[in-house]
Amino acid sequence: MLTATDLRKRFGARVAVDGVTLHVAAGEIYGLLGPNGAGKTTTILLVCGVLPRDGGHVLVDGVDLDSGPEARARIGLAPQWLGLYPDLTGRENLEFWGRMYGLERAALSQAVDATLSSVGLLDRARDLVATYSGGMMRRLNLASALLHRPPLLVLDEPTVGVDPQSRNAIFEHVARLRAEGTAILYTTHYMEEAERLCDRIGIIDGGRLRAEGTRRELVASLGDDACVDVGLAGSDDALRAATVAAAIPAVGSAAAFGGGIRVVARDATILLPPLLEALLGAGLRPNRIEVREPDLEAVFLRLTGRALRD
Amino acid sequence: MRRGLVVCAKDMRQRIRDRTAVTVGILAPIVLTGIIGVALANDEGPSPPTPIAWVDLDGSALSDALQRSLTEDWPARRVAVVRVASAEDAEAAVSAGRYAAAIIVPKGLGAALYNGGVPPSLRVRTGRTFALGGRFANALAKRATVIAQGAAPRVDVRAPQGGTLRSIDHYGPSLTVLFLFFQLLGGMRAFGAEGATGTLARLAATPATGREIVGGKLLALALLGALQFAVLYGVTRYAFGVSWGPPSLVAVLAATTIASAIGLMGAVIAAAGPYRGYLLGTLLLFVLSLLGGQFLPPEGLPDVFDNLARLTPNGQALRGLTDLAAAGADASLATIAEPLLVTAVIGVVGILACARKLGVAATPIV
Repeated sequence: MLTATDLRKRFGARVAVDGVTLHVAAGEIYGLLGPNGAGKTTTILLVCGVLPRDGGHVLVDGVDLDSGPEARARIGLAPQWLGLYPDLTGRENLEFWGRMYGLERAALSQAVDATLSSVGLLDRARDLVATYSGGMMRRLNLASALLHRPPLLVLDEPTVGVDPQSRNAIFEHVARLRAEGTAILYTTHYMEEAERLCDRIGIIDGGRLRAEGTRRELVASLGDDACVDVGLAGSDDALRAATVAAAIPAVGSAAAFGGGIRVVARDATILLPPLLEALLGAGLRPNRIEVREPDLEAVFLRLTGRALRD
Repeated sequence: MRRGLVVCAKDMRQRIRDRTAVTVGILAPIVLTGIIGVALANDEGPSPPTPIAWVDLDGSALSDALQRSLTEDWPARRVAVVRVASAEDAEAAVSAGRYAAAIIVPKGLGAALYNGGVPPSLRVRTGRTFALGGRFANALAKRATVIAQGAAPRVDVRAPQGGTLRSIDHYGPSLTVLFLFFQLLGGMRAFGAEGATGTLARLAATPATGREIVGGKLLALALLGALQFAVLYGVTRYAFGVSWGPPSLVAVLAATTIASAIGLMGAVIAAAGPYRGYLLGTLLLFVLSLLGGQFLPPEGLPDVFDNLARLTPNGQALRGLTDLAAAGADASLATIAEPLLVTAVIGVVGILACARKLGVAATPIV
């Protein structure tokens, strides 16, 4: 459904996207996982034709995105920023976006009603968007992307700032759309979201796709590596601790994480003594050690040398 | 094109719902025009007649002809020329505020002109009411100077077809043009702000082309400007009796004025961004309004003000509208040729300059 090949984008001297290639099939959720500033939003804006590309090619449902503006009708975008007009009602917002995608009259009215109902906003349809809660705005934002039933849906961090109830509602809706055959490109910096929703995950950092695959495949790429979390007491400097840990030969990678450090290493049993010795020798005070099953966080740490969430 | 009209309709709905926009664009100029209309209800020009002190030190037939031409050439202005015996008395009276200005015809003026010599200068002393009552004094002095450079001409006095213009005939169109520019500045700010909020990028993700998006937004602004102008025209004409001139010509000039307002304000917003641009645009509008004669008619002021007014789109629009009113049935496109040209050029250049920049999908992340 989506084939994006060798996408490139620079802003002045800064390389925002550097040769990203990805494919999303119909009925699949592809998660683009990376921290803030990794290039997720720029990538999807290139895919949607909002930003001009410096290089690369995009095919959506077999149609070249460069063939003309009508190619964008195959894409539904729910951007991270809210593409809504607060001084219009929920219904007016959807009617406007529906008309921009070519819906008219009865078809528009039916699509608006159905979409509002599916996101649970039918009873608030006549209220100004400015009166909506954050979660309601996110649901309406999602609804605006679904109106014209696009074969490709692009969701950029759709649950940012959303209450748990609305987040679950969004997850359920996205899962339903996948079951109906929609191809979904989903960006997030939450590992839990990627693990829960996505069939395949691409890990992006510094504008490059570092790895991609199913969760199982990505975690398996760590091999026998273990993931160790070390808590630090009081005001100990986690960044300094990560530097100290990274210097140990047995350590694959280390990063500050959650007030302590997270370490990925080949063997936890031979790692622990030199790790503790190094930390204590540096004047640091480790107060907790936890050996964890590897997860996407550990994969990211191994690939980039830093934590998914700073 | 269809999507452009969808964008246009949406923008119009948003602006019409904006109570601040309605207050600033329509209510405020109507109220201000009404206040001025009540304040100057009996005004048929400068009221009471502007007193000008005339000191004739020359005593020649030429100086007599000069004095007569000042009253006979300007019947609509209602100036009262009062002979004063000495220059000192005249200047003292001006300082005391009894006269708006004093014109002192020097000894030997007539003889110098008739004999081909170098004529002495005509002296003009203006008083503290110069800006208001005395605004015509400078024009009178200019006329005296022109006449003095040649033999006293025959004077053909004709009152304007549109009748005598009152102060409200100036301030009605003046406030209409001023608030039109303010309203369109606000509209262009809203356009620019869409780049910051991200709805412009969202629009760029739809099948609409850049031309449809920008064209739709500019069309909405133009239609709203026309609606505002039409409402103010109607209210000031029928409620306050403001003279506007032939409606069809007023409509043509209104169209190019709206274009110039969109172009100029759009260029400011495009250059400085929606928020800083709005502040700069407001400041610019105040300056342009002062130069353009919105608050103070340039006639009667030094020549430089007249020239500066002609450099401003609002000044040209106001000049054109008052010329149309003064010309009445004699008005034609030629009456407003210069205002049409200047406002149209500013409009086209400004719109082309801002449209491309504002049409770029500026996302909040970059």
